[in-house]
Amino acid sequence: MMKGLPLLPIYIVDVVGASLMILLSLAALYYSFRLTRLEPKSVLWSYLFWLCIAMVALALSRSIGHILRFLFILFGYSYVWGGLAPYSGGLNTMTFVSITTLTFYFPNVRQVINRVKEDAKRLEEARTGLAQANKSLIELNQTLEQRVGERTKALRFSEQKFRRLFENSKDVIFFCDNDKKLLDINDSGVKLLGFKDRKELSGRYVADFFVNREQWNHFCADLQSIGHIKDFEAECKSQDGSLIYLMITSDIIRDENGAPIGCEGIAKDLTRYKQVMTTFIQSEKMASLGQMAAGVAHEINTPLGVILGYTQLLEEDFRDRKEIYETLETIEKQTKICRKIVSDLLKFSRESLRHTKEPVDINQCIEEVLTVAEHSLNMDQIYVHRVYGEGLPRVLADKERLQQVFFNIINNAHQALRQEGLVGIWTRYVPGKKAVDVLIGDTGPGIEPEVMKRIFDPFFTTKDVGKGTGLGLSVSFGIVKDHGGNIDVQSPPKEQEFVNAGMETLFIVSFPVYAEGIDQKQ
Amino acid sequence: MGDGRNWVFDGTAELMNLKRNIFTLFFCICTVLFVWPGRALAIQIHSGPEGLYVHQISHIFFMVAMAFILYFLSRHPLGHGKAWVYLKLSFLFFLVWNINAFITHWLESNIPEEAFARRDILPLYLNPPITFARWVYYAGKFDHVLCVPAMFFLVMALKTFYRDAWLRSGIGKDMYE
Repeated sequence: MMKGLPLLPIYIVDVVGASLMILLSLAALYYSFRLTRLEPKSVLWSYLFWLCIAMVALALSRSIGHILRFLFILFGYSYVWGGLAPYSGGLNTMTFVSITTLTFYFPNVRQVINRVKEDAKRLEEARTGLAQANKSLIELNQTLEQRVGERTKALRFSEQKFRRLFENSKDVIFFCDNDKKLLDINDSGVKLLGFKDRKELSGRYVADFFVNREQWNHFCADLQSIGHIKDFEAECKSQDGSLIYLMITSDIIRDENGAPIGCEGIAKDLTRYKQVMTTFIQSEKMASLGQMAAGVAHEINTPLGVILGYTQLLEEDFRDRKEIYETLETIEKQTKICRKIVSDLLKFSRESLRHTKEPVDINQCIEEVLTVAEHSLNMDQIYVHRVYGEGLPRVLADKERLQQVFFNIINNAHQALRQEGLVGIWTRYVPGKKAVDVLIGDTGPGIEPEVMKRIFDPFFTTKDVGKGTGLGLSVSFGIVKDHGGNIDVQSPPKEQEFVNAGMETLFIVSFPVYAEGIDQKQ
Repeated sequence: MGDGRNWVFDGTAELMNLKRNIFTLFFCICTVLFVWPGRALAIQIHSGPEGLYVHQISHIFFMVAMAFILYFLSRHPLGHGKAWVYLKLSFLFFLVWNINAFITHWLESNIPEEAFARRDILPLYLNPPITFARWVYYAGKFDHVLCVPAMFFLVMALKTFYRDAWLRSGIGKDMYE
């Protein structure tokens, strides 16, 4: 009969197996430890290392059950085993749980790795993107520098262009703020307004330079309502008070929101143009009057001759009848006055007669006039102040007619001064216009502006009726023009020298100098 | 994942994360037990079989863990080569050893005390009748036939891994070549 199944082989296998387990687990721990040392960043080695620690714990706890148990029982300490057995089982259980935990957790590392890989990939992409962005930024920066350089160059060129236009323009260019105060003005404007530096003009009101307040209001109203104004003719005054005629074109300056912040404009100096036009109109008027006067004089001269002839015949007949004779004398006298007027009219008309011109020394010509006139002047305590230019070039002129001009002007001065005063006579050569100027002034009361406008008109006189024909200056004007010259009057004089000399009125007569070998008429 | 020899985790930060996660798991278990004690009350008196049940459950855990890691490595191979074969064999033997241990423990608890012929404390025979269960129990008691090879393959796997790592590092290249 079978005794049963022997348990001794089991015990033997237990002891040997448990011993091998301890040795093998220690070997495994050794290799896993070395692996972690060799590649410390590896999670797999880390997992295996901790797994091996758990295996060593398992092997040791099993050794209690499979080796010590036999030893204790064999040596009669079975009660010790009884006490250790629960610990052995408990330790085994704990190692199982630990191994399980480690094992379950290890695959999660894969996810971690994937996440890390994704992160690394994203980081790499971000780095690549950043590098690309950096590259683009550098390129943009380089391009930007180049573009900024080009724009700056273009801007500088444009600025220089407009600055040159502003600085070199012969017209006035100005900028104002909303209060119409000057912010900037070019050199032409500074010069025209009689200033030396543009800083003097900065902040000055434009209105201050307008002569006519209504004109200024009109200018502002038009600019405000339309936004711009074109070819506005304004009468202005410079710092020294002289009149300036300007043609202004101006625009409102607006900010980015369209709100007005000031105005800018260009002003063209029309003063010279106005003077030329006035002179031209005067000349045309004189020419017309001259033609008319010549016609009238020609037509009246003959009947007057007849009247005078018959009057003188009648005087012979009625010499003994005093009353009639005196009447006839009056007729004769008035007729002669009429003939004088007609004669003056004929002189006024340039076309009326042809005269012979020759080179004339102006100083000598004036001195001859004064030889006759000075005595009369001195009688009224009027003295003559002479300042003759030395070495004056001669002028091509009809000497007698020239003397008539000077006589007329001196006579006018005499009548203006009445008694006591000074008549100043200056002669000078003006190289700029190649002309000889004769300036005759007096210390009289001066001439009213209204009178000055008509002073050269025929028959215009301020003298009492019967004392003047109003043809003296008209005739002088005609003679001067006939000599290719110019006559002008200033009251008061513009040049300080004459003001200092006490002159209130100054006649300026200019004659072109005589050039040898050139037909002066041409 | 590629070749295991190249499978070197590159980041201590992730290792720290792993450790932190283990700690978190442990903390969560403790927290659940603390706030949700059920009928355990403060102090619980454990009866005799409880130790065996816990031990058996831990065998099941171990078993499932091994099955899981084998499944994971077959599904997502981390590398190829002898080392991985050794490692899988080790896990397989541990899996089988756990099954064997679970069954043997269960059978042992069902075998009466009289089935063991005793002299002093250490029984020397398993008395008849030798039923199938007793045969299975007897065979199962030779569990070292399973766990020793499992440990052996683990050592072999680690040794192979170590050799590969050594070669990879260049330190022991000359020695192995």
